[in-house]
Amino acid sequence: MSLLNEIAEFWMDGTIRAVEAFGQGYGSPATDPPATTPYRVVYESGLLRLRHYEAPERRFKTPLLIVYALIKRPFILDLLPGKSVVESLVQRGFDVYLTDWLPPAREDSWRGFDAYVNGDIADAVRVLQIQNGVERVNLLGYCLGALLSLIYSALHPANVRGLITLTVPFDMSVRDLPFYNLVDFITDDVIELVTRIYGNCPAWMINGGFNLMAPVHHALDKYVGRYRNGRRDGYAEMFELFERWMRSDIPLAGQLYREMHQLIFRRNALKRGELRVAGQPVDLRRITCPLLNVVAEQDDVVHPRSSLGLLEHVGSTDKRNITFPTGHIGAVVSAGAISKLWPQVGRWLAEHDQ
Amino acid sequence: MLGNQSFVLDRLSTFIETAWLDFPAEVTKALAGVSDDDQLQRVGWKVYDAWIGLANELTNTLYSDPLFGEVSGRVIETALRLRHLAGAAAAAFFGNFWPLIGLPTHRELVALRQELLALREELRSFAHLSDAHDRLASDSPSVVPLWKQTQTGYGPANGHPIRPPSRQGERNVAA
Repeated sequence: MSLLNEIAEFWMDGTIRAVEAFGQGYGSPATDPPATTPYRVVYESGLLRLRHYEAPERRFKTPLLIVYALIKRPFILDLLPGKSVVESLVQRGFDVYLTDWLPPAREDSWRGFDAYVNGDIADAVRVLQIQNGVERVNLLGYCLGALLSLIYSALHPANVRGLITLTVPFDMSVRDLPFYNLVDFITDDVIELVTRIYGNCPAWMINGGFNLMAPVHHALDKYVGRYRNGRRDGYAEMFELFERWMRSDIPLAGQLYREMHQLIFRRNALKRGELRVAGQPVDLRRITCPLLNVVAEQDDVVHPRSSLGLLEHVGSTDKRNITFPTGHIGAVVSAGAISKLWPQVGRWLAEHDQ
Repeated sequence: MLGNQSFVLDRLSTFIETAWLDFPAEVTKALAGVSDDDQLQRVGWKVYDAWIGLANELTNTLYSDPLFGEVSGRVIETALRLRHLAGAAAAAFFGNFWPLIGLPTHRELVALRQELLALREELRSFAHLSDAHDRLASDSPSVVPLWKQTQTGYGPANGHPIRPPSRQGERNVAA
């Protein structure tokens, strides 16, 4: 009986919090938990707040800019001591900068690839160049952030020393994840209607999409998991933080939502070399810097096959894939990733520093 | 589609095996006293895991079904069209008909609210100013606000009587 009571309690808590999050409009900087690694905001413009995590003992000259995905808050990269990608890199002596994307308002619905890549990311790179007195910076993009980093590197190759793409949604013709079959039935009319009604793709729609990717897990199994692992050290705290992150969705700017759906998901324009940003073709062969493509083997958000083919399309000679046995989010929070994958990424960055 | 069906069959057979064979056998053993509770619990979780696996596979099969995709796409589109239509109708009603019968529009209410907030802010700053004057007067008795000087018999500098600031209007605003 205690088993059923406890699971019911976890389920009820989760449901109440989901309803509260819906009422509050999901994620915003105000809903973030306290940061694990200290930082200061060094630049703010448009919808970008640039955080700087200074290394206590800086050992490498080239600063690293982490381009986070646009659809949830970035605290997943700095979740808890010992479970933080940022902390792991900073402790290795890298000066890390992180893009904290602010939620777009209705009047920001015009923002597309051009505004984010040629505007915000280009500004952030400029800040790194000025603050560190360097010509080129390292870029690390996560998920949608990896896509933006890839486009930036193709449009501004002279500014990038090394590029790391983590779980990048590159080849969108891959339909190995059943949920993506539904994307084919979402017509351009639907996208136009969403942007006409809401301006941007609302946070609740993004949250709903994530829940639909694994409905059984989100409706029941995660609460049962919470019960089964309740006695594991730190599990409850991790579960709460993770759930908080799952509800931290922010809207996706209308134009970017349109471009993502029509050009990336439906036409696979980046892989086919047909993507243009501000009239300029995004030619991946212009990327000649060293490239590390990190793929999560059990990724259920971006299928590994969607990321693996990237290497064939870039102009770099120094390029490699790392596949790691973890999921999409496990790649940045799991104990295995923090202890094995990120030291490997750190070594790669160190080797390519000079 | 055939691949999906075979996955579903695999999951289904695992579920049947654990739920209808392993679990009853374990319950019988526990009742007979030849097995402990831990073992029974382990088999119980096995049944649960098999059921979750089957549910996940059924979801995947559903998502892979073009008919489900088609219907979902249509339902979403229809819901959005209705939402758009309702929004347009509400805008037309409240934007045109509403003012016609003399009721304020949403924009007017918002403007009124903003005006009220601004007046409250103004009132608050007046109250702060007045408090500051009072504090100053009590801290240093030699400095007396001008309007108090007139009350205590000191003459105004410019030859005109100075009255204490009226609070009547402020009360009206607050009300």
